This record gives sequence, structure tokens and C-alpha cells, in this order.
Amino acid sequence: MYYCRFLTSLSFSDYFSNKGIEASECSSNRRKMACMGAIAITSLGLATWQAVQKKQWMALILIAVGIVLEIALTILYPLRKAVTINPPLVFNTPPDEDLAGKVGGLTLVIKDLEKCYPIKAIDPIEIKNKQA
Amino acid sequence: MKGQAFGDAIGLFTEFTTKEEAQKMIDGEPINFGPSYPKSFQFGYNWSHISGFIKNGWTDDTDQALCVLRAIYQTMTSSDQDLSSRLPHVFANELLKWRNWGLATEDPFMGRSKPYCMGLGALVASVLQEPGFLQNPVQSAEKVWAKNPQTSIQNRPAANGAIMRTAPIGLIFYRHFDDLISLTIQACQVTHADPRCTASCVALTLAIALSLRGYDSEAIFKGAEQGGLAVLRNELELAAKKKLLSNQECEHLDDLYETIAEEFKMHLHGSWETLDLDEGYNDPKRMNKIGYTFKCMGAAFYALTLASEYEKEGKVDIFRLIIEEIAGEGGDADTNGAAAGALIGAYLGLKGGFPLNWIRHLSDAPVLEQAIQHVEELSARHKKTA
Repeated sequence: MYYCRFLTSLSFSDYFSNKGIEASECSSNRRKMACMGAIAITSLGLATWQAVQKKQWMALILIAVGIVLEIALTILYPLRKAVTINPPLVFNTPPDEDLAGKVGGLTLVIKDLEKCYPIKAIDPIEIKNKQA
Repeated sequence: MKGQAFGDAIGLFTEFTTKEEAQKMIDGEPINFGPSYPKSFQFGYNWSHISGFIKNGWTDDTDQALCVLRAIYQTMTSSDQDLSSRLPHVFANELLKWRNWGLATEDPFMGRSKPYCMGLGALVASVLQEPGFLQNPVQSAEKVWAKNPQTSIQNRPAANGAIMRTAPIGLIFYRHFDDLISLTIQACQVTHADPRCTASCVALTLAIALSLRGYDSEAIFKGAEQGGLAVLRNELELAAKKKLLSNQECEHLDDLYETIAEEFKMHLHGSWETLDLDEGYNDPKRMNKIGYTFKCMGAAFYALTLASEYEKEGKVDIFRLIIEEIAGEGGDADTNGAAAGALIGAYLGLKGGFPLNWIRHLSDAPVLEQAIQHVEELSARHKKTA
């Protein structure tokens, strides 16, 4: 019973660690995840209480391991992602070599568009209004 | 920018409904923001969907447009950065951050009131999960799109997840079409490799740029069609070179181009009847196509036609009328509203008359004001550097 409850509790970590992927795919998913999380926390609390009452130390150790894993998945997983997303590394990546090919084939069209549709003299305030 | 955010937020009210359901909801009460949802929308057909978003706020469509803006800002304000070649990586970084934490509240740069992303599309989610996405975002998107290169292009996803976010590029780079087109392609292809997505994005940003340049709707249609089709042809040729298309399609590239170009034009000059924005929702026997990029493009351009007509008729509440029409069509109404709102916002400016209720009650309005300031600043900076 404790094992099942422990496994159920892990589902809560999915809500946090995959936040933004499955959970936000659909808002009803998010609510389901939140409900499952609430049930899992309640189950975990009850399991801990029963284990203490009945002095089942092995079960308590398992629950403690579960809580440590929970914290690791909740906190460390996003942190690992944060380390992956490192702006200086991104800025040092080489320029996209495909770009020349992509725009190169459009040079004539772009020139033609610039020729056919030059900027008209418009009040700068009007431009600001349109940008806003 | 306001047009995009309002179109998105109002469209959310009827997103994922059929036209019939959307009309019933709107007939009950006009769409307005407020402390609680209008009665006809509470526990309506899509209540489980809309109730999960920030009340009176925009969705992932405008969030991603703000990510594009953040990426442009970072690249343009860092010296010695070549804008067009660096943008995909910086934008990829912004997208990943947004997926993990949304536009985080504590972020002083356009932070929203809830720090998680909402409404992430399936295609974008798949691309973001690709290993090596940060290093080679464009290649990651191509990998997901061409998982099975022998599948016909018509049976591959050409989702509207890119067209909904490219408006800031049109607003900032309207003075130079070369930067405008190359950056639009970059911002699109970070997640959407399909040439139809690229063509529709370019058509929209060109239309926004032409609006800012002061052209009428007829010229905007012509310019957008010319640019969109040229990009379509170019991207199909590049896809064939990279072996991303099936062998048969590579051999008959001209035929493929003609077929897609015809579809592009049909949508560009479509109306609510022909666009069928809730296709698949209104008839279970048909494939669900509400998220097709050409539909979103068509909605934006039909909104432009209507804006031009209403302006000639002397109507005053043009923006509200058009956005409510889009909401009344159901389907992917928030994305259609975001693209259409951005285009008619750029076409009409303040003449469009944003309703006072929307202005007063839009959530995260300061974030939008900050974004508008950045658009103006970047646009001025581009004028100096170009």
C-alpha cells in the first residue's frame, strides 16, 4: 500500500518538472494534474502518519527517499534546464550558414518590392499610433 | 501591438468552438472584459479551456510575439551582433525560457502576472524537446517536420504557431524589406519548417510593413501576395535541395508550387464563408483544420478588407466589429484574432477605436505598454543603423 502511495506521489513531480509542456498543453490537464498532486500529498501525509503510528521504519525510509526524489525532481530538474539555457553560449554560436541561400534567392523580389512600394511621407505620430 | 493582444484575448472567448456555438455565445452578450466573465461564456462550450488562462488577458500567441520582441531587443542592443544570423539562437533561447517559466513575474523585462506558459501548441512543444534545439533550432524544426520525408507535404503539419508571433517584426523593420523578410523567415523557422508557414508569415509582416508605409488595402494585398509567393517558391526549392520533400514532389516541384500557390491565393482573398475557420469542428467527418496557417493568414487579410470597407462607410467602432466577427467564427479564434488584430491595428492605428472596456480591463497592460515602447525604440534604432 505504501509503495502504491509513494508511486502516486511521484505524479505530482510531473506537474512541476513538465510545467509548460504537458501541463500547459491544455488548461483542463493542468487542473487534473493539480488535483492529482493534492491527492498525492494527502496520501503521502497519511502514509507517513500511519507508518509512524505502526513503527514501520522501512516504510518511513521509503517515504523519505520519495520526498527527497520529489524535491530533486521539482527543484533540480528546472535548474538543470536553467543551466542548459545559457545566453553567452547562445551568443557564441556560429551564424546560420543557410541564411545566404534563403535570402539570396529573394534579392530580385525584395528590390522590386522596395521599388514598387517606397515609404510614403507620413506623420511620425501616425506611425507611432500604428505601431502601438 | 495592442491590436494583436486584444484580438488574442477576445478570440480566446470562443476558441475551440464551432461557428454555431460561438454565435450563440456572442448573441447572448457582447464580449467585454470585467471582474467576471460575461454570463453566456461562463460554463459555455469551451469553459474548461478559457478558465485556465489569465482572466482578461492574452494567450501564448502574444506571449510568443513578446518572446520575438525580447530576442530582437537582446540582439540589437548587444554590440557586434549580426542581427539576422543570430536571431534564431536568441529566439530559441527565449522560447525555451518561456516554456519553462512563462514570461516570469520577477523578470523586469516584460514579466506577466503568472509565471507559467499557457497554451503551448503540440508542434512547438515537439521542436522544443528536440536535443540540440538551442544549438541548431532551424535544423531541429526541419527534423520534426520531415520526420518521414516521403509523406506528402499536404499531409504534414503547417500550423499557425508561427504566423501568430511575427507581427513585431513588421512593426519594427517596416523601412527595409530585406531585413523584414529575412528576420520573418528566421523567426518562423525556429519552430515551423513548412514553406507554407514561412510564406504566410512573410505575407503578414509585409502587409503590416506596407500598412505602416501608408498604402491602401489593394496595394497591401498585391505586395503581400508577391512577397509571399516568392518566399513560397524559394523555400520549396530549398526544401527539395535538402531532401526534406518526397522524391515525387522533388521531381514535380513546379506542379507542387502551383498547387500550393493556388491555395495560398485562395486563402489570401478568402471570406468567412470560404475560409471556414471552424473546419473539422463543425463536421466530425472532416479533418480538423482550424490551426492551418493559411486559414489564419486568410482571416487576417479578410479583416483588412473589412477594415477598408468599414472605414469607407465611416464606421467608428471598426476594431471591435471585426474582432467580434472573428470570434463569432469559432475555431482557433485567439490566433486568428491575434494575426488579424495586429494587421488591422497597423492599418488603422488609433482610428480603429479600441473599446474603452478593453483598454481599461486588459490584464498585464503595463507589460504591453513596455512592449510598445520597445517596438518604437527598436524601430528608431534600426532607422539609424540601416
